[in-house]
Amino acid sequence: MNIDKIILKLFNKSNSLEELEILESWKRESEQNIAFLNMMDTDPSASGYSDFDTDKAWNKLEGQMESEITSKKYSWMKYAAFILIAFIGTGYFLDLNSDKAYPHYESKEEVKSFELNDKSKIWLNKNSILEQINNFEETREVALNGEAFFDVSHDPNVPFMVNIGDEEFVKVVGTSFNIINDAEQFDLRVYSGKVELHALDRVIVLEKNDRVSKLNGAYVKLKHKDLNHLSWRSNELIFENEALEKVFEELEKHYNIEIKYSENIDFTNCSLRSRFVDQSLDEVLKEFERLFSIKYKLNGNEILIEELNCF
Amino acid sequence: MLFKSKSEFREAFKAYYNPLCNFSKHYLDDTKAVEDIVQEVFLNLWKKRDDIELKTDLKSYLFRSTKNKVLEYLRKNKSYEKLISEYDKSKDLSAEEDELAERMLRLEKINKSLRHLPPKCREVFVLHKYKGLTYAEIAEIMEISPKTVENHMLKAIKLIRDLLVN
Repeated sequence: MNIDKIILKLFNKSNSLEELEILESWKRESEQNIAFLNMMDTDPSASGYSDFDTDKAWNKLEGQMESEITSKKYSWMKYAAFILIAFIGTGYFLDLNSDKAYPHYESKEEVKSFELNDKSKIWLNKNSILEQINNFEETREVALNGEAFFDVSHDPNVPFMVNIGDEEFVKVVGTSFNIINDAEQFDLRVYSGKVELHALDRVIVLEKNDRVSKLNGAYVKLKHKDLNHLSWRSNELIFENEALEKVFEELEKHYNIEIKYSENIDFTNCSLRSRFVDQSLDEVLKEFERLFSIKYKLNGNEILIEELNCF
Repeated sequence: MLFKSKSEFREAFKAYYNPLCNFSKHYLDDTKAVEDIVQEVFLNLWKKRDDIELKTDLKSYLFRSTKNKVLEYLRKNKSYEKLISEYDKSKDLSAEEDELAERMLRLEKINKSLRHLPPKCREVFVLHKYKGLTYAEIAEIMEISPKTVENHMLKAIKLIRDLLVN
């Protein structure tokens, strides 16, 4: 007779003597069997045991953990620095029998553009680092700290991966996209093709005009149509009837300046339709003099606008 | 390193979250506060995962930190001031607390297997085994035949046995 039937009869106290004997020998088979029978007699809710929502709690915790992961990246950077130093120190040794170090690109006060050996084109924004981290044979892996625009050569058999954190990376086969990945922010915008963002246990798929940004530790998928996000690369600023306030923000970002204005200036209703290609800050300011009769003072990186008229 | 990956950490969370909440609830009858406390225990553990060296095992560490967080909470909240005198104030678990922790883990085991049962099956099992209703009574309430009640019972026993014994 099946043991489950005997146990069910035990609940109803209707076992025959023969069944009770079978049960006894089943109990002797293992400690676990006895523990199981004891457990069956315990009603958790009668013992005051209740069910807390574990899944909900995990989701909340995961959000808090993610913000912590970002800062962890830096402890990894610290180790990377150590390894690099060790490498230099024992350089002779390693050169003889190990692979050559992979290319490493770093920009300081200028935008750099170059080609990787798979023919992918990279534009590296100021103060950024891009490292090739494997041999590009089975996968093409690079790590980015800072901002870069990628125009990846098409090769479906050898996916291109940008590592952005401990277990997080962006995977593509051939496409163009822009990534900002530093201590303050993560921002990924796709301009052509298809891109996958692998962040811990999740995969977010992005196509043209999709964008993923990290907000409060969580990845959020959005659309992008910001005309000037790539101005650092193209040196081109486009404003299509943009509110002046927003225009100033873009200028601040592009020219790395700070724009302030006297209290009496009101330009809430001003907008601009214009295109600046390869223009210096001086030339842009001249254009503003012409369009809005601005008067301003330049002091280092700071511009103080004292007069402005829009028509 | 305490956890090789985030999924390993999640396993620990899933195994201990409920027992730890129930353990705290024994001292502090405030569901929201209890949830926050256990949440904090796990967040701390995650932050310190690379540096922490467990004197004992993960289980003892978790119950110990939970106890201390509960005490901290009781101290901070004036309305609980009287309560606190009843509790053991040492940083480690007393023998009774240790026993309570073990009991919570045992209850979680059966609770977890009940959660895994299909809803109808679980309902039948609880009504018959814990509430003492007869097959006929359950059949009437749930609008099924007594034979189906019996089948649900057999299925429940088999599933729980599989989960607990293997």
